[in-house]
Amino acid sequence: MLFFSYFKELVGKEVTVELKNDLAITGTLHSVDQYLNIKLENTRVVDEAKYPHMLSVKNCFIRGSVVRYVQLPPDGVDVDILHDATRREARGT
Amino acid sequence: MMETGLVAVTERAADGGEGPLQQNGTLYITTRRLIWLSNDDLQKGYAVTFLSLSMHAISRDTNAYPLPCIYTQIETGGSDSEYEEADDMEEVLENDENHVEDDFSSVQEMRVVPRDPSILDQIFQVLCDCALLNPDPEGGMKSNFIHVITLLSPEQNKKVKRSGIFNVNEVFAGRHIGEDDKPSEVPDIGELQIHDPRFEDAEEELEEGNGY
Repeated sequence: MLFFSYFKELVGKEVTVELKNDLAITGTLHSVDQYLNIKLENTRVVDEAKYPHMLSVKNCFIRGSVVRYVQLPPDGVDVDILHDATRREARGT
Repeated sequence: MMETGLVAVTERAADGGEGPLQQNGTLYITTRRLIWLSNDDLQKGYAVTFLSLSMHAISRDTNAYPLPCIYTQIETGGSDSEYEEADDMEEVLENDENHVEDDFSSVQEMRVVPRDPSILDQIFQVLCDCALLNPDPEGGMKSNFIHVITLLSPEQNKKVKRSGIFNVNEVFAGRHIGEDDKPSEVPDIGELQIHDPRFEDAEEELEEGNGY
């Protein structure tokens, strides 16, 4: 549940979600659920020329299982807290 | 598990890929699948499980696509299929025009165009809810777990280097996302029970679904 809790903290911030099919979408994180399904608003495709079909889309729902990377805003990362949280999660406590 | 329909969202919707718009049909959304059936051609219909519906979005910018619609991306299971090969709806339709059993297994995009655009938001939300009802099956983790990369500020970067903060294994142990779990077979559309009075009896199933 670590990443679920962590991503919830990022709601309202801008993230870039890269899918396993290489499509990368930048948008405001609207919500995330326990399966790490992600809803983005005000979306734009990073490589618009390559993915013209996405131009008409301004919000989207992405299934967690197809996400390859989530790029976080630098100020959305508290290294110390994330560090502690990941250690706790790894210990299973 | 839940076999009966959740909600029939709209009537006389049409869908189409890059190819020409399909004729009018009816969109059904069950707890497990999104199904489009032609109104005119009994042989024609598409279905996709929510497990393989990797993305859905509302498409409203008519400069980019002429009709307001729901845009979806479908995970095909082809391991490293390139996005560029995605525009195959049209191709498939042309090749197999006279076959009843067309192979749509490689189609990666689909648009659902309701006749009444005002229900786009409702369809979008129902698809979100259904995704929640269909998490990937547990187990079978290989290398497809989620990665998190961070764009660290220079100070944070220094900090990380100094303390060796991110033990990769530790970080990645946190949360695994299932691999490409596909249902072994797609059942027929009997789950719709279109003309069955039990179709309206979905309340129990809904309550079950709230457990998520």
